[in-house]
Amino acid sequence: MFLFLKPLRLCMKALAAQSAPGQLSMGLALGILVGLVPKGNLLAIALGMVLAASRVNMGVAAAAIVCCSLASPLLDPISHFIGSWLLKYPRLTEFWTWLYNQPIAPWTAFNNSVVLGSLIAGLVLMYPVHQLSRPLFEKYSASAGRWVKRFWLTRALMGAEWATRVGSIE
Amino acid sequence: MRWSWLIPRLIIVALIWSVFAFGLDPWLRYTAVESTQAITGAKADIGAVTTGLFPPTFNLGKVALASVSSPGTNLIEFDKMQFRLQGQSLLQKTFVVEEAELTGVRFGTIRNDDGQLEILSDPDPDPDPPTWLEEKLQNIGDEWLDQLAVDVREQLDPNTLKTWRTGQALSIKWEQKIETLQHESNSIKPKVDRLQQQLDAAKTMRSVQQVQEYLQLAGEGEQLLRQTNQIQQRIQRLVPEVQQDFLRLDQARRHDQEQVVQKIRQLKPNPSRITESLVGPQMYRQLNEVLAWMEFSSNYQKKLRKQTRVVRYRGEDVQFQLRNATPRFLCRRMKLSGELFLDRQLMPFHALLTGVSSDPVLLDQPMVFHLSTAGDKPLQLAIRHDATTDVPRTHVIAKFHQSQPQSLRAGKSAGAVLTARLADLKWSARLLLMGSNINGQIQLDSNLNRVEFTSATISPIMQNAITDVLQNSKTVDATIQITGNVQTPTVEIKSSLGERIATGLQPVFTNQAQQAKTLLSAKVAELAKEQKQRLSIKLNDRYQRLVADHKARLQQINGARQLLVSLQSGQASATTLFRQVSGNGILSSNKENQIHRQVEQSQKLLQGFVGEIFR
Repeated sequence: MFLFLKPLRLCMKALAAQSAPGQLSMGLALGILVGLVPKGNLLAIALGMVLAASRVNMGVAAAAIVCCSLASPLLDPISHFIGSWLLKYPRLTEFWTWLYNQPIAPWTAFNNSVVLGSLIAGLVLMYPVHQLSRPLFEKYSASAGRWVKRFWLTRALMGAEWATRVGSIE
Repeated sequence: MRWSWLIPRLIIVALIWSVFAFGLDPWLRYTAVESTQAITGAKADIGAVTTGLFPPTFNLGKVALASVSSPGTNLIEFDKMQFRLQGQSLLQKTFVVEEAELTGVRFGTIRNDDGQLEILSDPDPDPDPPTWLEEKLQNIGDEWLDQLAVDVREQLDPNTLKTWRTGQALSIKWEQKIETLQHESNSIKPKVDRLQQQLDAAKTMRSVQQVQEYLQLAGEGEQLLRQTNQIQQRIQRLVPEVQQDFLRLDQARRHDQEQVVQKIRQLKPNPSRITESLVGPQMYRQLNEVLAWMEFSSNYQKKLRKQTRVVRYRGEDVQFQLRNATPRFLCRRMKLSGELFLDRQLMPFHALLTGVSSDPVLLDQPMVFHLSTAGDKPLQLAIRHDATTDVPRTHVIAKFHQSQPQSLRAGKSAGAVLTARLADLKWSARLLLMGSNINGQIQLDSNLNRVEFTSATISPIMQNAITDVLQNSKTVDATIQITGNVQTPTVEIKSSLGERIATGLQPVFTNQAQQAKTLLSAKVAELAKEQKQRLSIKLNDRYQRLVADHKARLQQINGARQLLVSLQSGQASATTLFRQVSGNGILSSNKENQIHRQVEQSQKLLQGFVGEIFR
């Protein structure tokens, strides 16, 4: 039973960990970036790996991914406009051609206007989101954490009960 | 050690690895099934899929693709498919199969289910058999067999003879003519009788009244005489007219006899109908199969391109120039081996397919397919589909030696039936499909044996003669020429078989017809003679009666005519008048004596008076 609960607890802890306001806001920004980019290409996978490898709050990031994935089709016209403009810009054609001829690059679907536009939009939004959300997390994260910990499930997953018992035995 | 940082990340990595290790194959299998079903429009059963990443290889086991057009059967089934992808191209998101191998390939195998999808993607625009085939099969008629019997009979049918028709017409004409004349003659008779009665009545009148009556009656008699003369003239004209009509009858007889000779020369069955009837169905069906394969091979590209098109992303894909551009999908070389159900037996075959791609123009190479079966009588098939030009071209060359004999049957049981067997069939086909136009030919060379001909309507002697002729044709060579649009092609079948049979049958007909000709010529002559005799007898008899009746009328009214002529000339004296009247029997004998005495007394008085004057 411990073999099942422990990894799950650690995963939940990871989600709940990295809960400094900066990590929360960065998680939000990265989550928006990943959420905006259409899935099913190597770019989205790469961004996901970058997100997973970073020390940001996964819970916030995951929530942002879900919300932005649902909303991204509504932003397609803007993404398409941005991506199409960039892809057809004459001075960048040589760069795009070079990039397109690189291995794996075609799998990223960067030559798709919506993919590129969403990526660019996400990257551009990263800094403002991080800067704007950080004060909010500073203000409300502590109280939010206390609210979450009220639930038995949270406590059980966090292993508080068992940790207390093990600690008491030692 | 910061396990709390490491373990979650290891878990994620493990998850990713397990996705590739355990999820990639099922996902690829699912993708392959969906793609294949989208291409074929029917169920695709794929067994195990195993992949290797370095180098990229795929192995598919137990694949069965159902047929849309034949529920319950597989379009193709194979035991194993193995192909290796080119790594460099894969990095460029193009699928280049360097070499692929399919083993255990079988076509048309039976399924456990109907193999149809519940929801069809795109309905086949033309699922029905091609109309040209239906039309051809419907138009193949066996009437030439029944015509063998009907031809001779029909051409020599007396009802078609001009002699018969002319005789009938003349009979009707003369019946009417004589009838009319008789009627007119009969209509005069009452008038003549009335004249006679009036003359008889005038005998009892007083002298002056008598003379008046006689004058009147003479006038009426003159009129009647004119009418009667007219009728007489018409009667007299009958004879030369009858002679003319008899000449016409003779002409008709000669004409019929000449026509019989002409018709006998023309008695020959239609060679093209014979050919079509005997070998048409096999050849048309074979052509239809070849056309179906040609159409399939030329359409594969559209379906392949449809499948390799990326449709997931929204937006627009901007294409940039690749240094070594290759089609999105390319199979350089594919080896197939398996079994074909051909000639009613399973035959092992080997095939090689090269140049299959989703963009032949980019590849600049045609797709080539070679297939050959094992055995001493192999099938050799070569298909070359060149889609590098604006108008795609598909060449098909095939040679096939069919050892299993084919039975032929023409005709219906109620009429004439011909059965035979084609053995040792050699098929060769050479076709070119350019866009939607097709041009080419299929040739058949075969032995013909076990020929039997039976008929319920033809005499046994003639049946044997026809069978002998048919059995003399020991070989069959036929060619189908096809041109035009592939949906509605112009198909023409040619063969020397039909001509040989038709030429061979002609002497049989001629022989039969010669016998019939002799009979018919005699029959025609007899018919003409009979018609003449019948007319002669009928006309003669009535003609004589008509003439006799007329003569009597003439005699009756001649007396009144003579009297009138005398009175008109003023030369009639009492004596003359008396003599004429008494000579005609118009007066009774008492009256005659009375008038005679008065005339004598008058004469004596006159003579005495004259003597007294001159004393």
